[in-house]
Amino acid sequence: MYAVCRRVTGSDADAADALQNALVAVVRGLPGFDGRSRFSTWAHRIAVNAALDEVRRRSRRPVATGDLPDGDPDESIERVAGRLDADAALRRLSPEHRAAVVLRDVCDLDYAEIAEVLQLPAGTVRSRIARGRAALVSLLADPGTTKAVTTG
Amino acid sequence: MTMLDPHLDVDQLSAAVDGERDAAVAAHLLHCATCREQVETWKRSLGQLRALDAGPSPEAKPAADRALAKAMAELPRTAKRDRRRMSFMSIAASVAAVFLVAAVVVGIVEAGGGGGGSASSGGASSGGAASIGAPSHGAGSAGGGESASGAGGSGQRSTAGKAATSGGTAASGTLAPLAAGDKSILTSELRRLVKSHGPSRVPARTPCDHKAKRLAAARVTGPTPATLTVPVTYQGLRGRVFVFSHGRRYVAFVLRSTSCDLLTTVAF
Repeated sequence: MYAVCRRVTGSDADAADALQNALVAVVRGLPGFDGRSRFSTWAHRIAVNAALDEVRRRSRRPVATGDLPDGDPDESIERVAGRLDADAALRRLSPEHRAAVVLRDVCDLDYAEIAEVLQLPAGTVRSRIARGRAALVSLLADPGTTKAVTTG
Repeated sequence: MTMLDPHLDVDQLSAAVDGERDAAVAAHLLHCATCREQVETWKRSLGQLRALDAGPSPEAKPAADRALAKAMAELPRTAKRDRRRMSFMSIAASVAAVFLVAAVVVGIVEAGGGGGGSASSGGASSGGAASIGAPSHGAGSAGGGESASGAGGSGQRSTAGKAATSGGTAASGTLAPLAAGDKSILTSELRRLVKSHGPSRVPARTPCDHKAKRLAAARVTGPTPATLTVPVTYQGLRGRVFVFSHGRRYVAFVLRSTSCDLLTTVAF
């Protein structure tokens, strides 16, 4: 759940807030959980919604900068650079595309699970993942590009 | 790929990256070096995402710890308030939630010690095969609260009780070997799981020459021994479930004489 919150919000501080809200929502929602979906899907859905809520809240307040961690000092420069590039590229996707790509390529969920988590038709999920990935590849190849997915 | 553009479009590229390619796309990739290179570029770029550290950074740990503490404090209050309304299903879900929260705690501790990725749920395999809803742990499911929670205890103990390693074979990555008690629980759980899923409910059945079979076979004979092997009767045929440690997951394969089925990936 932290991974989802971190990658969707793009910030440690926002991820912690989203995680807190998500965990509280999980605990409060347990009596109403009827087992129709898998527990992990249900928990992912709560985490994604909490993270997207946090992103929306953030958009209404000044944007903090310099939130990316410096990384482990023992980590190679190339790995740190790759990680930071990927993180920065993810943050340039729209929240909707970012959530879909994170669930597929970071959390390794399959398309059916992502459709259930995001409560979207499978075709929409496929489209968002494809366009999100295309933008991401383009951003990683040319970080200075202005091309990114900005609309749903 | 259209009359105007002879190359793969983003939907086709994305599907190709996932290993889903129809005959037309496969044929195109055979003779189009540009698109083959594109697919490889996409795979490399997306590989960077998979390498992202999922744990909280040291700066974020206090905030994440506070989030967990608040959620943990909420749990008994909620349970007391709603005790009369608790059904069997919600009790099972509560058990799963405790494991979930505990797994997040463990994940944070491991991340603080330089650990890497998250305990993501057992779902899709790298080969695109789907889970059949095995009880998994950490951020994973406990069968949607529908199955017995015995294996949940197994997962939790094998993560937290790293000192209790009696009888376990060497595990790769950051996984601790399975403790003897865990093996017993996991064995009975795997037998139950295999027995309860007939042919129509196994989406990950693959032919013998599929990547999963090769992966499983390599692991059976390779330097990394199976953490657990469980004889089973599967779809009317005798077979074995092989459980391997793979990164921070356990991966279970069912091998029979005629096919290989990726049963599930289990994170714990």
